Amino acid sequence: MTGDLVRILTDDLKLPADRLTDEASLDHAGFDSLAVVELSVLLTDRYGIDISESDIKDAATLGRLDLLITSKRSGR
Amino acid sequence: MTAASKAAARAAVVCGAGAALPPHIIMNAELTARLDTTDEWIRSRTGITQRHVAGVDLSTTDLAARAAAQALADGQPVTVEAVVVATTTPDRCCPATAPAVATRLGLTGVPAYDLAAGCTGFLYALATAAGLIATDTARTVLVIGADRLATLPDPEDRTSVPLFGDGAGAVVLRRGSTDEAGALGPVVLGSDGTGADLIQASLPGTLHMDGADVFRHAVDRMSTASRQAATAAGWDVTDIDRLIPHQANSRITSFVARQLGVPDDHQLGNVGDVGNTGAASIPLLLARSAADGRLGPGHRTLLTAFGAGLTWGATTLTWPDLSLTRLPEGAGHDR
Repeated sequence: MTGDLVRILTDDLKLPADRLTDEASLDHAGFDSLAVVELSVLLTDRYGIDISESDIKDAATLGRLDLLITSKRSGR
Repeated sequence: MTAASKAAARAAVVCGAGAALPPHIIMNAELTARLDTTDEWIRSRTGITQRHVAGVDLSTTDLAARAAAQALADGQPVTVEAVVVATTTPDRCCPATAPAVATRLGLTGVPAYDLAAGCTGFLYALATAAGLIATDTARTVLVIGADRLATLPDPEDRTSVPLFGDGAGAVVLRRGSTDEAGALGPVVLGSDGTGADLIQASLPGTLHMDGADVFRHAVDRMSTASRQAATAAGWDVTDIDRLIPHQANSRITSFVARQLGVPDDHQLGNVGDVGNTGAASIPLLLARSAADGRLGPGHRTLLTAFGAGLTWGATTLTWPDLSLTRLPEGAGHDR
């Protein structure tokens, strides 16, 4: 997982760092429904990328979420 | 001409603050006994642990009059020359609440009107009250936010019922100048009717709210309006000593504070104790925080709100020492 995503999850969403692994599901990492919305808003504000709540939920694991964010940021 | 560019221009100045809450408190545990929700779910998503509920004992008029009476008692004596009540939950469709509140306070005869702008209502009311002062319609205006939002959700709706409470808050505005503590800065206001369905209730007990979209709009609009209000006052956001955001949900207010770069200890909140009290939220928090010392004389204070409409707003003031309030020029002091 990239440092940018880890920083958002720990500093902004206050998720526990020891649960943030590539394989972790959003539930296991401590996401609730509002955290999905918060992350979507933060990604738009910080990186200007549009990742919807359903995109985030569909990613299912933090590793796949990280790949999605990286690809959106590089414009692919 | 901006307020900042002409130091001694006329301004509306806060010279009293008061609040009223119904005595009946409903804790989360009471709700979880009858609704399919948990204390942990409510706390983690909203920060709310209890709310005050008026039930059939207290009307919006009652709450408004009590908050107003306290605002008048706490500041120095003034003669109120107009009453504005911001509410989304008046006791009747017609007439407005404000004339009855004025009469209850012994102010029969003064201009009195209601204003509805959802949870942003108090900031809209401050702006129009400042207008009454600017146009010499009144030298002293009582501005009240009063709501019984606990009446709006379907009593069986486990996601909405925990969010709302009842209450009222009030401030007294008097004619003064921009260079004194308590002077309201420019009030930034906005609305977007394309979002009218995101928070709506056709009747009590029918509230519908789209939580995710409301969150998105709330954090965006309050952050933007706050920056605009700070700039209009000649402040940088780092100048803010106290951020007073509308108390809807602690996750929203914390998010806004982080977006603005306002440290946690500069953000005031009471949503845990009172829930979302609508137009009452900001003046209730002002009065309570001033009373318990979290808000003190000299604090550069930014108020911001977002609500049904959609509506939003923000303004600034340096909190005054209410015990040293000057009397308005030429006004009597029979109270």
